Amino acid sequence: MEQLATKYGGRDVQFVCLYVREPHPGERAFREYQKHTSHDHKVRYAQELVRLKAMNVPVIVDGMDEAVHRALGNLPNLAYVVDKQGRVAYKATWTNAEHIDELLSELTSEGDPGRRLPVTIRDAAVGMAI
Amino acid sequence: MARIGQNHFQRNPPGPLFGLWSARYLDLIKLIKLKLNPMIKATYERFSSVLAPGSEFPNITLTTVEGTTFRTADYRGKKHLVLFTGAIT
Repeated sequence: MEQLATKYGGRDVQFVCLYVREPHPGERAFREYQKHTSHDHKVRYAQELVRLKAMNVPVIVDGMDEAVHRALGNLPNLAYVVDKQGRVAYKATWTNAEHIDELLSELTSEGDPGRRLPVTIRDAAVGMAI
Repeated sequence: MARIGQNHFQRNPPGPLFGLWSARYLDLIKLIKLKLNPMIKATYERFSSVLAPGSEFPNITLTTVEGTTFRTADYRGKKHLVLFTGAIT
């Protein structure tokens, strides 16, 4: 996603990462990362994420009640693309950079400005589809 | 420390029965349990019902890690928005 953000950086696309609850706190590979105890704790982990992954995309931190995350569907690796009109153009249960790249190239390649954007509406239930 | 790869694992299985009881197999059991979990299944079903493609995206106002405020409403009519979730683990 970072590479995509760099690719579309100059064009009118805004990337944003929503930091949510840790899906695997304290598991074998991540023993030092425990469940969030407070909002400050969550913010600290979000800062850690930015540092670990060297992220340039703005990272927003959801509240302890996960209100925003629940409103968006409560999946740990979801992705949404919202067009300029504020409508959902794409949603996925699992973030797939290739699909998003494909869609963005379509969204950003507008011909004359008067023409309506060719918004492809598709629901990609990919990845962890059960 | 020597790099532990697949060959190392095959030569030195951690435990009896070629490492069948190794911790890495417990992950597989966990994955199967996850797949069979009705609550998780329900979450996936609910995801397809919320915010159908073409519907209005809600206004989100949250604070970034730098302390600035991020509003999705600021980008309406100006930019396309790509939102994805992230976590360390």
